[in-house]
Amino acid sequence: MLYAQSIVSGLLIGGVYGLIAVGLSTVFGVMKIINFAHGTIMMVGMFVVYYAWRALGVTPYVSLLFVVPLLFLFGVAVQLVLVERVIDAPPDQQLILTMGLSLFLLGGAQLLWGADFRTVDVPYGNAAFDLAGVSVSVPRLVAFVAAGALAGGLFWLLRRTDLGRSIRAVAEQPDAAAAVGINLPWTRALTFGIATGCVGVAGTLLTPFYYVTPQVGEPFTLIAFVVVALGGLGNPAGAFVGGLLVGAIEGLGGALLPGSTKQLLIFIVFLLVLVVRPQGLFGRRVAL
Amino acid sequence: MSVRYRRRAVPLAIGLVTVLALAACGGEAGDSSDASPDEIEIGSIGPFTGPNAALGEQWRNGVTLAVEEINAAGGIKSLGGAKLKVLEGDHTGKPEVGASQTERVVQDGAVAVLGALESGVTLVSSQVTERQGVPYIVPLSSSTEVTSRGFKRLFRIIEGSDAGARTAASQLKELTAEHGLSAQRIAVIHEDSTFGTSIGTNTEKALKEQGLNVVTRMPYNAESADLTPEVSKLKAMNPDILVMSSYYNDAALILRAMQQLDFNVNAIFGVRVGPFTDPKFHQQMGAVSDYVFNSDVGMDEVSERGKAISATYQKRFDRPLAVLALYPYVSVYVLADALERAGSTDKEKLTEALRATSITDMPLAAGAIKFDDAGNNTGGLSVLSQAVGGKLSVVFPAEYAVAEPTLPVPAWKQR
Repeated sequence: MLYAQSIVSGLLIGGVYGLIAVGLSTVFGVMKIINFAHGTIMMVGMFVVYYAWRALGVTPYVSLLFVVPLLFLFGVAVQLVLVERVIDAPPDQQLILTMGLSLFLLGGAQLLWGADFRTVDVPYGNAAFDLAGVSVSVPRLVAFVAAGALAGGLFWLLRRTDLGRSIRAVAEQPDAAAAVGINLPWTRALTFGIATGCVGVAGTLLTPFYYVTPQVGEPFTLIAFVVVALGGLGNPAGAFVGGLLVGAIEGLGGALLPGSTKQLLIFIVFLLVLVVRPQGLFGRRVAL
Repeated sequence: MSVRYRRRAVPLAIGLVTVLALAACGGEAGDSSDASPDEIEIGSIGPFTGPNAALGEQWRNGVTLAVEEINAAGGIKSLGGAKLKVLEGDHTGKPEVGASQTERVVQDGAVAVLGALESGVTLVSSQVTERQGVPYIVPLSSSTEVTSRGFKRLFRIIEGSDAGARTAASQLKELTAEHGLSAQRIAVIHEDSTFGTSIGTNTEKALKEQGLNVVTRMPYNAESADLTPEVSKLKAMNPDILVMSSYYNDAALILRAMQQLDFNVNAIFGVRVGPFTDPKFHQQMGAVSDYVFNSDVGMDEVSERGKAISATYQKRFDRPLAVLALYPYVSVYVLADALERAGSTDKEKLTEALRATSITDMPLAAGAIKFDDAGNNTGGLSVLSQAVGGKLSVVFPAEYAVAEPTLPVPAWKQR
């Protein structure tokens, strides 16, 4: 029963890991850029949710209506104004840019709002029901289902729409894509916006049962990197499944192993994957 | 990484090393010892960013307030009214950064260093000052290891975790006995860095010495994104008392997971849980952190000076004063007192003066501040506080208590 509980808790939060990793993976797949600011952008979204609740009494799920467009636009702007400048630069310069953006947002948030902990206190925040002896938290379940639906929607968009086809074309062969008339900067900006929009959803879904602080994104970013590598770099579908996997392993690790050694289990799996399937569990070719 | 990246990384690294070396050399010049300086530099090493930034901010507030007060009152009089100036070093929660930042503030002329909040960082940071012969004041790191290394220039204001754990265990025994609560199955959970491990193991030992039954001692990683699995495991052991030692985000995660899993215990009993003695934490966590006990060093809320400082602090920083700010505040006064008596910024004279410290007028719920040979404050003490309705009060011992403990604690679903 204990293991069942741990795996269920792990899977539920794993959905959120997955959604965060999907954005990271998509940006990498299309732009070959590692976005270190991914988690901090989520944090910005969470603060918007917090203040909307605090000042205007807007319940977190309703905040999706404006947090997602806001973060989408933010992502588009970041790509057009900042990342676009280093798109052909060597990777160290790209790293310094996204790292710098992350530090800027982190420092700005701390300056503006302080490093204190805040929680969004909504009645359903701690709601839970019992499923065959396993306690299932309602807001976590909502987060899991919504993350899954959104990830599914994103794959559909990538596979079946014109926008998705252009994004995949830019990922595969930017020069050829440009030659057939795809607007590269614009497509990249939309991609970045979609990724930050996803992380905005993830952050919003977290707020009812999590806390908000400038540092809140950091552990998630760290996990997202493992998830992305596990699922296959630039493979969003793999990233989502990888998220579930890491969540479940972490949950099991927490129940089986003491303290920080719970990470051991994740990294053992991670190393095994690197040795056996260095391209990631699901490779690169499947999705993007 | 590509070959191109590597080729660029080498000159970049060489450049960085050169800049750092030059920066280090630059600090040597302004060293003055016996002449009366206009400004006396003191180092303050804390986690001003990183996972414990919420704690670091309060540290900074405490130091700032004390320095402002001392300077406004005329500075260090025996040194011609020299003003204190803070050289801040941000260690971001990382020991290696703590060491390099300590190195930097000492190079820049700090006559003494206050550091570093997290025990793990303090251990490394204080090695730097000990080697350089600079006095090091420890406001808040309670791990026993901090003062057990035979350092000659380290002075700790907070009561060590061994003594703190013994006090906590006896408080727990007394509290449960007085209110007829069962304490047959005690679970100890602690974060697994130096701080939590030291408190956790010492508390387990002290509880056993009190004849109490500890069913488990569970370490966990404070930087986890989720602690529900750990809390599920605890719940399965069915403890009646939960003893915990945590930092901020993990404390929040544990409490929320307990509520979600409807995991009820007779009492949640924190030992040195910083956030539990931070009124702001309780304001923000609301019902989730209600009724938790915390055995920690405390403020003397009964004394006039305690009330005055609380009011000043609230006005200046727009938040209630917590131990996290009070101890760094007091540490600056301890240092200022030593500077005053030494009449010099010489490292040896200052160390001697610190060793001879005897201060009684600080608003601490503790005895006089005096140091033994190991650098431990012999007047250190822990008090028990409880948060009810978002308000934090000392409930034990009677000397400092401003409220009665609220027991039994209502179940999660009845709140």
